[in-house]
Amino acid sequence: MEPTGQAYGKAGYGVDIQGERIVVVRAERGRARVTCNVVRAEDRLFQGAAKQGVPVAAVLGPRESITQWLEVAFGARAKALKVLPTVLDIQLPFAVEQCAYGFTAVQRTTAGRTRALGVAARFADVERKLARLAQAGVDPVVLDHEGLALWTQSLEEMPGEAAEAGPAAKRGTGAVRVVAYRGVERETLVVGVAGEYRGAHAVRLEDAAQVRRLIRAAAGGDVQRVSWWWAGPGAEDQAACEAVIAGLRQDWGDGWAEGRNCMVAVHREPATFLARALATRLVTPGAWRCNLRTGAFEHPALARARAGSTTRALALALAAGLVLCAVNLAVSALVRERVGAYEAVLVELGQATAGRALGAARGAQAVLIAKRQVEAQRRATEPYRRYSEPRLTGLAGAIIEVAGKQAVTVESLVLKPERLSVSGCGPGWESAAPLVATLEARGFTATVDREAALADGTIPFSVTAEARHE
Amino acid sequence: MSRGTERGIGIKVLVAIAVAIWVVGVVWSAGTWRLLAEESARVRGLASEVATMRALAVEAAGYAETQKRVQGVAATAPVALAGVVGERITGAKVDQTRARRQSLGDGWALHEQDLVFDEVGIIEVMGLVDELEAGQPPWRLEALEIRAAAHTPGVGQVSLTLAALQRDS
Repeated sequence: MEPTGQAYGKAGYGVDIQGERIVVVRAERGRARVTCNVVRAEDRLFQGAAKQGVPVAAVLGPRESITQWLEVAFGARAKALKVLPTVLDIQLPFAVEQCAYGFTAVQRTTAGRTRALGVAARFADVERKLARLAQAGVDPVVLDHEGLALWTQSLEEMPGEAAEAGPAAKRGTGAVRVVAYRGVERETLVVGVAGEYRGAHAVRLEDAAQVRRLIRAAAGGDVQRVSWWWAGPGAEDQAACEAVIAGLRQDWGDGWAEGRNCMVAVHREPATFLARALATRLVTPGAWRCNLRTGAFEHPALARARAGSTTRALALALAAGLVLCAVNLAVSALVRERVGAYEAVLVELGQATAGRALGAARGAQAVLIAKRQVEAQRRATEPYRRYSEPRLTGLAGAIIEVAGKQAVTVESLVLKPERLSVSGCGPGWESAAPLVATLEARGFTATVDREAALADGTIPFSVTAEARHE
Repeated sequence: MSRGTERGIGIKVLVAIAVAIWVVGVVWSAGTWRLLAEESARVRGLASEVATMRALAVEAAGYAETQKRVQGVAATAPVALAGVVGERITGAKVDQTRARRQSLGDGWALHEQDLVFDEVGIIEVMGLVDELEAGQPPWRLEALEIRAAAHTPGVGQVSLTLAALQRDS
């Protein structure tokens, strides 16, 4: 049994056998709420529920099952869940191995311990119950605990003091809620405090002393306020119910002065209350859920669903593993292909550039061979490149033209591909500047030297220039 | 053996296979991760080398193209200098001082000729150079030195170095 129950589906049937009568309620979970409808036991949909995968829940009463609050010293949930069966075994009057059992409402206490509600039923009782249900034509997927079902449905329909759950419940104080189920063959008393389930008992409700003792025991002795909720087909017998309450008042005294600290009410449609509770619990998740049809008695549909789920999970894991391997294979292949492609391009380019096979040379070595080859080619073709470069004649013409415009007398002009010098005389200090600008514009770095003015007032100068290599 | 037991064994086998494949996948992933780390650095290096090689290829192609183009222009022998100079420059002393030949391989050679003109009109010589460079195949001016005469504008000594590519016959 899971500590926190999951829903079994969006629809489910709850069955309450009341003597010869079988009460069936179908619950359906919508977007915001659960809708419950009473159906006949002969209803075609109910009879075919198992085939359609719609779960059916029946109930084990307090005479056939037991609930027990347990506490272990471990705060870790997983560790606590391992120890809880042993603790339950100590509490049970029979061996836990002979029982269907589980734990719900598992919670960590402020003291760092783990507290949980153990639910158990002997396999013999489970088998007997299933046989009786089979006689009535009911094959439940879930065997729920009657006390828990009554408790959760009472809170679901009439939340009331459930809002006080928490610290008040832990202190054992707060309002006591009693859900009294008056069935055809049995009567059940469920007691809780401030929204927390404390226990369920099979009792004769007319036995006021016993009822009072059970309530006081469940509430920890201090009963301040009581809200008493009737349920079950017998709740419709108003006179009988009033007689029970009257007996309790007589026995309890002032603590039962209605209107002051005691409230008595009947749940709506009390005859279908338990079936409604069972059906609702099938379609909604939450705490206080249990299924005592486990182990050898587990419903085949549930076993199949679990096995199917396991198989699906495994298949998914298997597929994911295969995908992982495939991705690895693809990535490895892609990387190798990429490296291979680059190497092939490098070899191809290297051979084309070097003009010969590179042999075993790869990578940087291939690049080095190609560089040497290109350098050799550069040297070998230098005369051709010089031959195709801009002519010096144009440069000489430009210098002579600029000199003429500035009235500069050129005395000498030496022009070589990489360097140049011009000397002469100009009418002013800046006469050589246009020559320098012309040379700079044509890719030379030029400097000018000037001397003192001659007798005719002209300024001698010499310009030297070197080709820039950018 | 019951069907349940068989199913249990089947699931155990499936679990074992799934676990084995997962382990293989995870170990493989670790290997792939390492391979990626190593190979990504290698790929970066190779990409850089390929880029360098491409640039070298472009450079080499440029050299080859220049060589081919120039050889196409200089397929025939350039005009003989002695004849042209004699026709164009009159009344000046011309000295063909030095001729050089540099073999370029593949049957091609670079011919260089130094010319020195004394007391010559500078414009006249530059016109000659223009004409030679415009010829097919052209002579190319490699060096020029002009020294103007002291008292005669536009006249002076001009030294030239001309070069031409030529296929050796």
